[in-house]
Amino acid sequence: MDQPIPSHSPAPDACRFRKDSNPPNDEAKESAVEIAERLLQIDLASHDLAWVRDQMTYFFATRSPEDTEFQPETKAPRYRWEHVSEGEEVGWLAN
Amino acid sequence: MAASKIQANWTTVSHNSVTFSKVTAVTFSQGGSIQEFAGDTDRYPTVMTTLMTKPTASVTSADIGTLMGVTPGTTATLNATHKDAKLAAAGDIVYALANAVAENCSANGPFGQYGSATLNFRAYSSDGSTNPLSFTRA
Repeated sequence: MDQPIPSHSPAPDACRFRKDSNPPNDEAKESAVEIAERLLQIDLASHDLAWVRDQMTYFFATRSPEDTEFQPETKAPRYRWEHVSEGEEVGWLAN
Repeated sequence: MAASKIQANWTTVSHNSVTFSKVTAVTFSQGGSIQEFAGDTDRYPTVMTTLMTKPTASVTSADIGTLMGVTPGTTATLNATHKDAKLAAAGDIVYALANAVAENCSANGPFGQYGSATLNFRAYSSDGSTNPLSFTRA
């Protein structure tokens, strides 16, 4: 779970990771936000936030609550995903 | 001070450019509903799945005028912060319901009591897959 994130620049635009409890309780929500902050490389001193969505079987997180995982029109993936560790991926917006 | 892991009271509740004050309750619902299947000689459901999830939210406030002023159909992100009960740093849970469509507002005022109004929202997903309800901490 704590493997280093691939050293890309800039920081990932999105991340997704496995859910450990269903439905998530408050502790699981806090844990999910912490994982998202780590994967998205959120600077806790900044105003950036990790917005986490419960996607039933996994969590999907970005820096904006309006982001989507897929293109609204075509349903094509919006991100280029890279495996980080067991059950964790980070994504960059695809061109 | 560590987060208490207990939430109490709401702040920063807004939709579009409208900020709601005098808020007494906010509800976010995942909107899951189970569809049952039974066939042949079954006498009980043999399959239960959640085929569709329809998140909803509602805001209750004593500021009846502001809530009643929101036109049904208005679409924007609904934001609300559930404060840490002991006001600890990073203990607030912040919710955002993207594509929240104002559905209906009902006001009531029983005799001898403060009046209030409740504004209901339903939300859609822009891509059909991403949950419009998200949360973070602050």
